[in-house]
Amino acid sequence: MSVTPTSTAAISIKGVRVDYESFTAVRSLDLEIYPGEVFGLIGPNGAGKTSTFKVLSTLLEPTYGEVYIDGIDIAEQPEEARRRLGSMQDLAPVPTDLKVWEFLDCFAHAYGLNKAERRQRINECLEMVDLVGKRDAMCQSLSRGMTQRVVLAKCLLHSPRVLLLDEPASGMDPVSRVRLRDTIQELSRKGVAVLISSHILTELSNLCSHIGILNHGELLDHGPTRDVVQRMTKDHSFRLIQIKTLGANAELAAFLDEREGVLDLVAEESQVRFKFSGSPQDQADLLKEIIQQGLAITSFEETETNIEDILLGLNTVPGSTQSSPPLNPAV
Amino acid sequence: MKNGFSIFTSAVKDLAFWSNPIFIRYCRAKLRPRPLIAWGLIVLILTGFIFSMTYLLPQRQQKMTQMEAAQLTLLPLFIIQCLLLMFKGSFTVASGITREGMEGVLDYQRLAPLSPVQKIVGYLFGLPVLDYCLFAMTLPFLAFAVIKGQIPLSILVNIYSGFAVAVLLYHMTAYMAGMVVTKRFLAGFISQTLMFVLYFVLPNLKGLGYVFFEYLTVRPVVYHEIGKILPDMARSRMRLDHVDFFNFDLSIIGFSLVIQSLLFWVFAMVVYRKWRQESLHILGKHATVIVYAGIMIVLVGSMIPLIDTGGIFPSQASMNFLDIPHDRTIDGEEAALIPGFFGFLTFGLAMVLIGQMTASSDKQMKGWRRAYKYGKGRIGCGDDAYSSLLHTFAIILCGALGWCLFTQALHDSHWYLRWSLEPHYWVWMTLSIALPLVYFQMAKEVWGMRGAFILNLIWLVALFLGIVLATISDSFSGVATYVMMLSGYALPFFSVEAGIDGSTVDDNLVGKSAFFHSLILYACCLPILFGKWREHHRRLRGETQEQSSQ
Repeated sequence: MSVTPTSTAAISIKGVRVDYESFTAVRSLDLEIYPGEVFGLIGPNGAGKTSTFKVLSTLLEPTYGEVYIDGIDIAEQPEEARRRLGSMQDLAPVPTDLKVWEFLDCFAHAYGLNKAERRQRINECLEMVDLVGKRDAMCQSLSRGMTQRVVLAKCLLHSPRVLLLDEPASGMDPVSRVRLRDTIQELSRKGVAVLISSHILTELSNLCSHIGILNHGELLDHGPTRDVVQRMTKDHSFRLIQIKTLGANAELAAFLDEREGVLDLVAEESQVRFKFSGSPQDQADLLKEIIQQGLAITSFEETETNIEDILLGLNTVPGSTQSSPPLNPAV
Repeated sequence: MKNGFSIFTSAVKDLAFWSNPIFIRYCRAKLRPRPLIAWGLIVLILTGFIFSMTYLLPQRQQKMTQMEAAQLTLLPLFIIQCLLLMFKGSFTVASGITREGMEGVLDYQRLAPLSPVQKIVGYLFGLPVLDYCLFAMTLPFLAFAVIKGQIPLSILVNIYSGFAVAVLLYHMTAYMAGMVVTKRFLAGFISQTLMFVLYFVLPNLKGLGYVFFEYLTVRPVVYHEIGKILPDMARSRMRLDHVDFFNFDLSIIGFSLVIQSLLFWVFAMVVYRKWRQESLHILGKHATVIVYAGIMIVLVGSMIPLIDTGGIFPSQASMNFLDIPHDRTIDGEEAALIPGFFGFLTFGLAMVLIGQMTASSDKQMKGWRRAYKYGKGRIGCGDDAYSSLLHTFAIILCGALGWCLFTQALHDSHWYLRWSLEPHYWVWMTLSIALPLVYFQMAKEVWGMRGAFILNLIWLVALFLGIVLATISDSFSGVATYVMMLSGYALPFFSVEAGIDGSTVDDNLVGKSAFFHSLILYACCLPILFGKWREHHRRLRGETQEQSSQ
């Protein structure tokens, strides 16, 4: 999966490995992200996402490998690369002793904007994150979600070509999330490459044009979101079935548990989910038997695998490149 | 010419703190009306009260003239200014930079397109900006004292130039501690401790001849200058009117400014490196050797002139200080202890600096990767990833040279007439620090922090075990000496005895024998360690080459 850096890629990662003494956080990562792409990096805790973000934002030197931001080698010209990227950390902080505009002004000044440009750009960025009304508020008084938006505004001050967002929606209310999604999509339309990691997976499904699945420091797969989801589920001779019940489901679970072809059964409060490896006829027979048993069910449906299922199903064996997506989140 | 001009304008731009975004950010945050007025009132009221009492009371009670009373106010005023800038200011810098680190705001600044110099200047002047303003509020009192007291401007300039450099040094100390200590909660504590040690602990080593630490404070300058207008007050504090350095007589203000400025630049270099890349070593390899050589020069240069007066020997210094008549001789133990302690200090300081400049395996790998990436067959000599063995030898050379010079000067003095140096004393002294330091370097380079820690643990256990055995019974003293001699810490002390002809302690022969056996043991094991060291480097190079070619 070797990638040669091209002039068109906004982010080009070639053979990056990150070691912390004897622990390897990222193993040979190869990836290219192009202008206008919104790339979601998903993976469980410890997958290597934060290390990858740190390397990309020039805060951490990789053990091996090369990274190009907008064609610039970050090892050779880190200052130049920093001018082209905006980076937002997980639970990004703001100085508590400044007003919102003062915080933004400090960075706009550092980026070399003059006073009039600073004023204009700060207003534009605050507008983008819907915080114009909080211009004169103390950063200390902002909620977690607002703080995230202020930091996003800070990242946008210098109109970066690449945006790195580590858990950008942490602490945001649903309305703010929608607003964030709109902002990111607008930036994407303007040709900004966005690399985003988020544990709010539904958010990624709706937002990302591309995803990459990282586990134990290895990129298991990447590409357009739909393709990756399909690839991660194809070749598996099972269907994902979800049955909603009226009230208790212990009897149904016990019934299913003894049936042939039922795998990874998960019984939740008012629903049962499992993998079924039989044919469509077997599936129809199963439904018939459930009804004949007199079990009170309100729905029986075959569901699609989504990003969440893939993440939950990631194989925990390091070095594995194939993963099957079991439904049981307890696994 | 154009190039030189552009470098100059770039430097001016970097140093122009008034237009620095970080400085402006702190001006906004710290100079809001409410805290400024509150602090300003406190400072004005306290300063006004202390100033009035110092000015008015002596006029009324001691019938001083207005001029004399005004001169007297200079000292309390200066103490208030010290409290504001040196203590409150340094605390503000340490806690401020620590808080920025803890909150993660420092990472933003790291990503901001400002040069490391701009980041240094911005924080150095920005964090204590409120304290500078409070200091400014005390200036009208100072102006009154200067005018009424007819204090010469030259005195004022000398005092305040010394004060300015000391303030910058202490702020930089706090800044450096905040940047270097990765555990941010510890950083504030460590920076405060460091300042306390620099200001109150190290200057007390002047009793052992280490007078140069005193010049890291503003005290010698102040006592010397204030002595010109308040002779009674300063007489008991500072007897010297110049600094003896080798054979030179240097001015106190000049020496103090140079020493403090040099230390300031060393700390600034550390902070600069940390802004450039957090993972860089505190000091580069060449700089480490230069800093070590500088410390040795200052130590030896300021100690040698004290030998004749006896100021270097604790027994003599205390009796001199208290004006107690004495026979002006030293005993054998003190004669061995003074050069031995110097050797131990030389060894300890070298170990700390070698430890900081020796790269971990991870860093060495990164160095090889970079070398291969840029088509070079080797890592650059000054690179952090380069083996520190050569620089260790350079440090050993500087240390041994300084130590031998000092020991020779001691033996050339009248205090050591009873003892003479063996012709090859310098060989034993050099080996006594060289072998353990090379062991330490190789252990750190091959096995990392764990290797260095285990080696130090073995040395510590051997030293303590030897001391315990010697304490149990006199019959164990021989065994105890042999056990103790396994420790790298003990070798500098015993090498002094091995190099001195004429008994300094009763079991001198046992000590000499143990010392030489220990040297032989260290020398015999060295090839094994060297083999491991070579193997480690070959392996790292091979692995990296393989990875890079894939």
